[in-house]
Amino acid sequence: MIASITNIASTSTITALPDSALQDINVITDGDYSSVYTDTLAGQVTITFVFPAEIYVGYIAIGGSNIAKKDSIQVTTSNEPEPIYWQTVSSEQLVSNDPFDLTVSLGGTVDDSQLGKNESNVLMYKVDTAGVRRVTVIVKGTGQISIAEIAIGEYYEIPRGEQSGYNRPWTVPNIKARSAVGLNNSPINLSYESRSLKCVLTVPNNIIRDFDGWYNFINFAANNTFYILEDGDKTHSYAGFNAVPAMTKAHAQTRSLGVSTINFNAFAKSTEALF
Amino acid sequence: MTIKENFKQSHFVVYELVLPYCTVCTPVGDLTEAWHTPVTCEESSDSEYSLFFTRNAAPIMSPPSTAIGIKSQLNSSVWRCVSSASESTARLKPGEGMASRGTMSLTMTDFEGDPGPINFSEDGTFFGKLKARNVLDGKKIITHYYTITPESETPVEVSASTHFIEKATLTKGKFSISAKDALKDLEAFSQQFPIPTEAKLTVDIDDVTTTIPVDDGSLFTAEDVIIIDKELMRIQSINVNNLTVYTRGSEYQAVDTTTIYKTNTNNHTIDSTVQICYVMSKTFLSNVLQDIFNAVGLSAYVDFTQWDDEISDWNENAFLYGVFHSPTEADELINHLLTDYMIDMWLDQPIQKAVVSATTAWKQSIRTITEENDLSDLRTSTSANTRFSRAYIYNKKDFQAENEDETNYSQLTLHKDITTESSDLYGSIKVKEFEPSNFITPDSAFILVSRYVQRFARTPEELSFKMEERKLANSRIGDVVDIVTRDSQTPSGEFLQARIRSQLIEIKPNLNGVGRMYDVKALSYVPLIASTPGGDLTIFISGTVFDVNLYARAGAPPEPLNVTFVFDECTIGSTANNVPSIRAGAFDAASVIKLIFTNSSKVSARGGDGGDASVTNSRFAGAATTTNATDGGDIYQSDGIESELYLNYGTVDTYVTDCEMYAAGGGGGSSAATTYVTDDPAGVSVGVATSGGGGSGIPSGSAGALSGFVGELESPPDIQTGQDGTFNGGGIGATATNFATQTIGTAPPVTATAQADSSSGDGRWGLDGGFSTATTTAIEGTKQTDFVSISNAGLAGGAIKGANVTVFNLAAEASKFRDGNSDSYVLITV
Repeated sequence: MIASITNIASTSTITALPDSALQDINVITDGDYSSVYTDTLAGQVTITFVFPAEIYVGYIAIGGSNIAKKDSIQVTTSNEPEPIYWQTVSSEQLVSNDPFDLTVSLGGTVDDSQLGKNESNVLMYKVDTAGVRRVTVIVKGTGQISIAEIAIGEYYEIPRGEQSGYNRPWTVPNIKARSAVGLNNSPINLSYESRSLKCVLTVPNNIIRDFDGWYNFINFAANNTFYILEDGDKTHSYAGFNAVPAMTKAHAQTRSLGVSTINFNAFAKSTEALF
Repeated sequence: MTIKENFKQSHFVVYELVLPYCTVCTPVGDLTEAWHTPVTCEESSDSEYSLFFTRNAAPIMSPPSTAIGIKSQLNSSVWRCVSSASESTARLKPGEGMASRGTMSLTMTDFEGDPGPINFSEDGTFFGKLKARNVLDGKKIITHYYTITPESETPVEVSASTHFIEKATLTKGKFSISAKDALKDLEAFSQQFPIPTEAKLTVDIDDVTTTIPVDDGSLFTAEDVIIIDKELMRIQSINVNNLTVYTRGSEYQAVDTTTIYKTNTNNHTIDSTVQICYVMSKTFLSNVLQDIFNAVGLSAYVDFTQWDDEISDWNENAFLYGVFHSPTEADELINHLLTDYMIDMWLDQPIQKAVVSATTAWKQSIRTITEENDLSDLRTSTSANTRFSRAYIYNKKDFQAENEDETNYSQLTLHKDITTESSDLYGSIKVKEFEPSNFITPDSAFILVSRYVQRFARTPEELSFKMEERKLANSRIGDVVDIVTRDSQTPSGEFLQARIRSQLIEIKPNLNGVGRMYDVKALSYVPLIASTPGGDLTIFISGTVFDVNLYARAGAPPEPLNVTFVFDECTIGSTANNVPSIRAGAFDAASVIKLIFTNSSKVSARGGDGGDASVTNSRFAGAATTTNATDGGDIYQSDGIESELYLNYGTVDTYVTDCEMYAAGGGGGSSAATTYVTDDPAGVSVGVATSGGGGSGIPSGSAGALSGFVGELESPPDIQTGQDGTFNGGGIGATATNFATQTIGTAPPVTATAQADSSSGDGRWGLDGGFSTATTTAIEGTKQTDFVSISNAGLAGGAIKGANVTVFNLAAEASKFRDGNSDSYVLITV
C-alpha cells in the first residue's frame, strides 16, 4: 500500500491538446475537486506535463475523473521535454488524423490499456521512475471527459501490518439511496446521492526509527488531497481528504514501536448515475 | 407507467451567483491592483460573470454554463462549499391576492480561494474577497435543480429559480445569503402608484377658474386627470405652466356613459400638490395591472397574454371605472385589485414572469394525485375563520376623491349561502367583509361575493404531504388537482375512491437528505361542477335588488349546469329603462335556469316617465314644445338560455311560489299649445302645457316636467303636472285650459282659448302610456301664430324577453302576472 506524500504537478507546464477555449487546464493540479477540467472528447485528449528539470516520479494519480468510462488510456513518462515528433516528423504527419503518427514516447509506458469501467473515479499508478521531464496522459473515446486532479509526486510505503478490519473504500460506491414507498411499502421511487466514506488507517507496529516517512505522510495528508493505492491494480485506489492524524501512541511492549492512526474521508467511486 | 430512467434518479443543486464586472479596470482610490468589479474600478460594469456553488454530495462536475466569457479557471469551478440551503416557494393565499414572495437562503463555508473575475490573489479567503470586491445586495442568485438518471451522462436541469440577494453576511467563516424573488419590489417601502407628481400650484385659485398655474407644466399632458386637495379636474390644454381644465366640478364619464368620477369644487391655496391620477375608463383589469407593473419598473415580469387570457376566461367583463388619485404603495394597490377579482398572483420561477390564476370553485382538476403512488406523509388540518357563508363589499363610489367611509359608497353587494348556515351543516353565519372598492362594477362585485362564498362556504382543509421530484412531475403552484387518500373514503367506506378537489398552494423543495423531496400544501374545496355535466346549484336572493345578472350571481360558471335562483321576499326592479330587471347573462347555452319567486316577491322594471312639456312666448316659433315619454323597462331577458319562471304555481322545490309580476307601464304623453290672436290693433296670447303621468314599475315612472314663461302672454299659462306612477298603477296625466279676452280702445275684443289633455291613459300594469291632445281656438279675432306640440306616449315594457322561456302561473293567479309587450313564451297555467 502506497500513499502520496508530495504533489509537484503544479510545478510543470501543462498543456491539453486539443485545448478548451474557455477552461484553464491548470485547474487539474490543485487537489480541489471543485475545479474540474471538462471537455468533450472528439477521439482523444492529450494532457502533457513538462517539468523544468528532471524529476523522480513515484506515482501518478488521476482523481475525480470519469476516465474509466472511456475507451482507453495511455500514460507515459519521458526524459524529453518535447515530444519527439516536433523534431523528426514531416509536416504531413503533423496534420494526420491518426494520433499514433504523432505520439512517440522515449520514456516508459506506465499504462496502455482498455478501459470502459464505470465504477472507478480514481486511478493511481506506482511509477517509480527517475529522470522524468515529461508526463503524458492520453485518453481516447468520445463524450464528456472530466478531470478534477492529476497528481504527480513521491509516495510513502505504508508499513505492513495495518490492522485487520481496515476499511477498503474502493470496494464500495460513494452513494446512499432511498426509496419512497407506497401504502403497501412497495418502492415507488428510488433516488440517491453521494456520500463520504469514513476511513481509519491504523498502523499498530510503526517503527519509530523510520518515523519520518509516516510523519511526512500525515503532514501531507493533513494539508492536501492525497491518494492511496492498495496493490498493483490502478482501480484499487482512492483519494483521501479531511485527514485527522492522531498522535502516535507508544506500543504496549516496546518503545521502538508506535501505534499510528489517521482518520480521513475517502472518495473512490461513484455509480454511473452520479458521474 | 414508470420507465427505468425515471424510476431511479439522483438529484443535486447548483447555486449560481451572477455578478457584474468591468473588462477594463482603473483601480479606484488607494487600490494598486485591478479587480475588475464595479466597486474596485472607476469604470462601470460592461459584462457579467457567474460563480457556482454546490454541496459535497453533488457529483463532480464543471459549471453548468460558462462562468465568464474568457479562458479562466472560473469556467472549471463549482465550489463545493454549501453547508445548508433552503428555498421557500411562493405560497398562494387564495382569495387574498398576491402570494407570499419566494425566498431562499444559503450558507457556505469560507475557504482559501479567489472569486476573480479576472485576477486572482493567493491571500485571504474566497468570500472575504467576494464581499470586498462587490456590493452583493440586489444581485441575482439562481438555484439550478438537476437530475441525473442512469442512462444519461449529462444532468438534466429540472427547474431553476431566481432570487435577488437581500442580505449577505460573513461571520466566523460562514457566508450566508438570504434572497427573495423578483417581485420583492412589490413590497412595503418599495414603490408607489400613481407615481407622485412633483408639481405645485403657484398661486391661490378659487373654485371656478379653469386656469391652473403650476410650477412645471411639462409634467402634464392634455386629458390628464389631476387632483388638487380633494377636487378632480381634467386638463383640456396646456400653455407652458398654465393648465386649462374643463369646467370645474363636471362629471367625467366613460364612453359607455358610466361615471368615472364626480367631484366637488373648492378653493385651493398656493403650493398645493397637483397630482396626476390614473384613470380607469372601462379599463380591463389586465391592462390596469400591466400599467402598474410598468410604472413601478417591473415590466420585465409582465405576462400580459397569460393575465388577459386567465382573467377574461373567468370574468370577461372585468372592466374598471374610476381613478387612482393618491400615490399608494403598489403592493397594496395590486393586492386590492387582485382580491376584488379573486385573482392569485405569484412569480412563476421557470419563466420569471408574474402569473395569475382565478380562485374559483369552478376550476377543473388537471391531474389526480394518489396516496398509493404519488404522495406520502399526508396530513390534514383546518383553521378557524376560513369558512365564510356570506360575503359583502361596498362599491360604486361616484365621488372618487372622497374618503373611504362606507357612506361614500352607494351600493352594498352581498351574497349568502343559507344552506351551509343551517343547523344541519355549520349552524352559524360567517361573514367576509371586503375592503370598499371604488373601481369594481356592480356585476363584478356580484361575481366576487358569489365566487367567494362558493369557494369558502365549506371549511377548506389544508392538505400537506411529501412528493418525490419524479412524482411531482410538472405540477405547479396554482394547479387544481384531485387528491385520493386512504383517509378520504366514500360514505360506504371505500377508500382510494373519494377525491378531494384541491388547489396546490405551495411546493417547497426539501433540500436535505437523499434525493429531492417536495413539501406540498394544497387547499381543498367543494367543486361546483359535479363529475357529470349539468350539476345543480341553488342561489338565494332576497331584499330589494336591481339589474340582477344571474350569470354574475352564479359566479360566472364556465360550463353548462342547472341553476336555481330563489327570490325570497324580493322587490326587483331596474335602474334604467334599457336594462332588464333580471337577465340570464352569459351562461353556457346548454345551461338551464330556474327562477322561483316566493314570499310575496314583487317584480317589475323601471316605469316609463311621462313626457315633458313647455310653453313660452306665442309670438315666436317654437313656443310650445314637448319631449316624448319613455318606455317601460323589461323584466326578464333570457339571453336565449332555457329558463323556467315559477310565479304562482304552488310549491316548487319546497318553496311556496307567490309573487306579483307586472310589466312596467309606459309614460304618458304630454302636450302644449299656445296661440296669438289679433283684431287690429289689439292682440292676445294664451298658452297651456300638460305633462304625462309616469308609468307603473319598480321604480315607477315620474310625471313629465313642465315649464312656462309668461312673457307677452296676456294670461299666465296654465301648466298642469301629471301624476307619478306606482308599483302597480300608472300616474294620470294632466288637463289644462287657458282663456283670455282683451279690448283696447273702441276695437272689438280679442278672445283666444288653448286646451291640452294628457289624461287619456295611465300606463299601468303593463299598459302603454296614454296619448295627449291639444287645441287652440280664436273666438274673436284672427290667429296670427299658432303652436301645438304633442309628444309620443311611452310603450309598456315586457315581462319576458328573449327565447326559451316558460312561465308557470296558475290560471287562478292570472291577475298577478301582466306581461306587457313581451316576446313569445310558453305559459303553463295548470
